[in-house]
Amino acid sequence: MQAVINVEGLVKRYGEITAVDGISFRGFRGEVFGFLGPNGAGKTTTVECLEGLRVPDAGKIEVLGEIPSPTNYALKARLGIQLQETAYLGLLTVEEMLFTFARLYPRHRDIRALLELVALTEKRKSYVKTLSGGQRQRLAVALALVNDPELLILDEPTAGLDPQARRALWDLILGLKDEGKTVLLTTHYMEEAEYLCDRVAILDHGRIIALGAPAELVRAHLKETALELELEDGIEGGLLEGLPGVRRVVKEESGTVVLYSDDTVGTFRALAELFTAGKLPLRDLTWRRPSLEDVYLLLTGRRIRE
Amino acid sequence: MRGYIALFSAMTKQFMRDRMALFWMFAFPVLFVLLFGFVFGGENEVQFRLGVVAPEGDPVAAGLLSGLEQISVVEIFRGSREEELTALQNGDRDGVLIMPQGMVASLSRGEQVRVELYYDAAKGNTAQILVSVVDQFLVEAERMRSGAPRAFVLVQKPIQAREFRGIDYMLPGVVAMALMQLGLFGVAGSILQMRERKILRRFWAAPISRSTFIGAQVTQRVTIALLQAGIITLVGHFAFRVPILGSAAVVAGVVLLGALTFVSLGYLIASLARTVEAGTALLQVVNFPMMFLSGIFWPVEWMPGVLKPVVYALPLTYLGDALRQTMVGAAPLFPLHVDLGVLAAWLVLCGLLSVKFFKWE
Repeated sequence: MQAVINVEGLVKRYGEITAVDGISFRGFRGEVFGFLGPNGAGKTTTVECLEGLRVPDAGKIEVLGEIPSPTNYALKARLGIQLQETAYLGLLTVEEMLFTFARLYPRHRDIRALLELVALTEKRKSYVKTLSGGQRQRLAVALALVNDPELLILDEPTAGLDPQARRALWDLILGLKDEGKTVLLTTHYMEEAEYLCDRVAILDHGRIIALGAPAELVRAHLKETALELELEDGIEGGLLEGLPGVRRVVKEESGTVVLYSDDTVGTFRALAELFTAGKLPLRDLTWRRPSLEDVYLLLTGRRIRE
Repeated sequence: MRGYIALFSAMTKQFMRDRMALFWMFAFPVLFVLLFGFVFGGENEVQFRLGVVAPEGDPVAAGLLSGLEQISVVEIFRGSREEELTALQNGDRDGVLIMPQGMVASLSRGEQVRVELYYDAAKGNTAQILVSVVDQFLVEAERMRSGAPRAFVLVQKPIQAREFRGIDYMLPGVVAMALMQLGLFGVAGSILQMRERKILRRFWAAPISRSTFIGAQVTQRVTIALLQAGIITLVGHFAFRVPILGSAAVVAGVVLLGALTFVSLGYLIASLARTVEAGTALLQVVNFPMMFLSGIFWPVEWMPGVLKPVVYALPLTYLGDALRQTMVGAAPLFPLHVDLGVLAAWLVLCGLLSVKFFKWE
């Protein structure tokens, strides 16, 4: 596989704060690569270094065989960029906005087809400022596609969208993958990373704490089943840790306790006994297969959305 | 070049569809001109309202009256002594002239005739001028009676070919104001907003150089400036007959330099302010002194001496002066080359500082 992104030891500081603290990874042609992490984990800073919008303090970056920089226009012409929370000139129509950006690039896709692709054909004569959140986000993706880029970098493309709009954008991104585009995206939605990404890098405090295909990550870190317990009040320490099959206990700040067990039936039986004996003030119990969410929880002790 | 044209046209559309921007850049200065035109557009004619109380059927009184009516600056009202003095009290007369009875008899006996002039001492200047006009008139009447020839004749030769009205002075000032506000609000304000809403960032992710972006913005705003100056001048010219004496090319050149100077000042303000709020405050701090201290609406001589250093530091003082000289031929405050030199110096200074401090995000 051909690497289109090659990052080694990337460091970016803002004054005292180290936003990106030594990140290394490679992105391959034709894959959807995701950066998963909470706000402030360093996702946006990393992609902005790749886009040439920020200059790193240390480390090496190579994108499509070029070194990104604010003045590397040849590289910028080959990238499709969607920034987090950008606004556009509000008094231009959707179509005018696309034509304006199309003329900033050496070549561009057919605007009509692009409007069709992002389902904005009906809105093409509307002022940008009148668009809804979902329409605006689709326009941002259309603008990222306008130059028919080799590599798409999408920063939180579905942030703030309702489930239906999010689903539509997912299909759009998978369609682009089928076209052979390479996509790098950031997200703080677990299900988005699981659904869209071939490989995911989990970011925390400016470092990559896990990297791989979502299913592999789950398998590598968790062979157990996850049991989520909602309790009425606190229980004595060590009570749950000693139950049969329980490998790990994670107490979340919200109060939810998650047990990871390799003997689901045995753990269930023990919990039922404790409950009957009145030692476990259980309000709710759910059982599920572990997901990326659990990997994240396991590695950081937190849920991603706090 | 394609990128430049695309940006120029996008910025033009954005500007021309923004009703607020259109109001401030076009309607507001035109309203200024209309307002000033109606208030200060009249001829500077002085008219004195003089009440005259004269005895009926007196040939001397009749002669004096017909003489008074010849004076163009005096409007004559006739009435009884009581009526006219009441009118003076009420402010409806500037003075009341009272001629005594039996002037023919007095004159034939060689006695002095005492003519009384009542006036409102509170109206300092008006009263003094009226007193000397009436006095002058009586001296002249006496000379004609005695038949003595005039040894000295005053021939009036005004040096200004025409009367200079308030609106003639202010029209170039309104053009100067509009150029300043284009630079301050049209450039600094819009950059601050685009920066805050991360619009600049998105353009910067595209393969265009910063100089292309800035070039498109500067030329687009300067085009608006020329349009503004043209509209304001035409309104002044056609609505209030403000004569445009300078050549269009020279005036356009001064407008161009002025627009560039204030666009660069706008960039400097956008460079120094980090947020829209801070920027707006800074804009007003710059806007207000310029509006009122740079002599664009009234002569710099009217301003107290302590403010003179501020007045002479403001670039708008020089733009206003240059425009007044070249547009309406007003007496210069500074020679034209000094005005243009100071503006150019401001342009270079703001430009260099902006290059040093400008931030895209």
